[in-house]
Amino acid sequence: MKHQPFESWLYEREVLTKDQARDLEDHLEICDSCRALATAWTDIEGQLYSASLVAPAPGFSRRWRAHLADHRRRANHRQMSAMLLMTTAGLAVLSVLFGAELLPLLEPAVPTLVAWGGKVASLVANLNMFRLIMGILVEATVENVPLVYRVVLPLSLAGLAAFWVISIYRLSYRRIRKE
Amino acid sequence: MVERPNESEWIHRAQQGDDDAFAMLVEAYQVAVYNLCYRMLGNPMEAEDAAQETFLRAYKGLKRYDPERRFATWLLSIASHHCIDRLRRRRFPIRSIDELLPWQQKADDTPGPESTLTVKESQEAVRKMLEQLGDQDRAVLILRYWYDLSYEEIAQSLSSSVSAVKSRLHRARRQLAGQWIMHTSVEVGKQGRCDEASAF
Repeated sequence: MKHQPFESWLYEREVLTKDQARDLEDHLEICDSCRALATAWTDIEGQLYSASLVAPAPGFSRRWRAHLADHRRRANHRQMSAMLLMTTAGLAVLSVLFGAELLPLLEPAVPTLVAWGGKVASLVANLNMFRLIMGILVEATVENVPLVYRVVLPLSLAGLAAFWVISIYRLSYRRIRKE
Repeated sequence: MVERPNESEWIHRAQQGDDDAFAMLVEAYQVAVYNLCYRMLGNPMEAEDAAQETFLRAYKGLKRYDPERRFATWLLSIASHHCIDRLRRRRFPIRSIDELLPWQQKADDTPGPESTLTVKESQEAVRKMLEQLGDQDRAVLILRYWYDLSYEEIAQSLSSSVSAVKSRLHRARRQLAGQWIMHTSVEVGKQGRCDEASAF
């Protein structure tokens, strides 16, 4: 027995013409196989139409906002990482490209840099010496100068320093503020 | 699917960068998108992830949205493609869900206690039926029966042709009917064996 086109028709009964619908019904009366399919499809279609929409858990919008915020945070992080990587890569490329060119230019500056290094080292040594001298002076003062002078002298020095700081402040900072 | 009254205004505002307006769209379409993802993936947790990702993709692609097209169809198109991609990437078989998770809710009115079991059984039967179909066939069937989309809209959503959609729908229906016959014959066989056993 031929099952086509009836087998195809039974899934789309709503679009069949009256003649086609009648032919299909005639075929279903004599064909057990197609009748079984028709019954099965009617059951399934009923289940599909009766199946309702399933909703997400409450708070979906709130979770969406959190998801969006997380996405933005990750995107920012990715962007920063990419920028850092690109900068590093750029510097590396520049070093490779121009390193050979820059080295000869830096060569004359090497003695100057060495000289500056020596000066800094001697300054540190001088500072240590200054500290030593000051220590000896203080010891000598404590032993030979009376207590009154030992109090008056630092106070006078502190007063002079304060006067100096205030003068500098009035002459520079306040004047700038007025301007 | 019915278009919301303020939808075009929300879309316009969202396109200007208004996150609150887009949140309104999320609120309006969360059930539709989640349901599609759930029906496609058969897993509530994965459906939640897929639905969130769908809205994120829509948010990022909102500038490219064509107002001539229905927003719902556009959104469902994104969801369908994303779910099909997920199914393709799947390395493991779909985990079986014996019942809906406690936090999952039905979109319509809650059924009475006497019908809860029937509803769950029906949902499970539908889920198992859909699981047997190919990804694209399943998507066509879902868009047709749950969202009542036309062949043209389904074709547009799945970047396919109308004839391909018709062909897929026919194949899905025939496959489901065939499986249903096998399923019912097995059930009848089991029932028969039980009856015979109880007779002794």
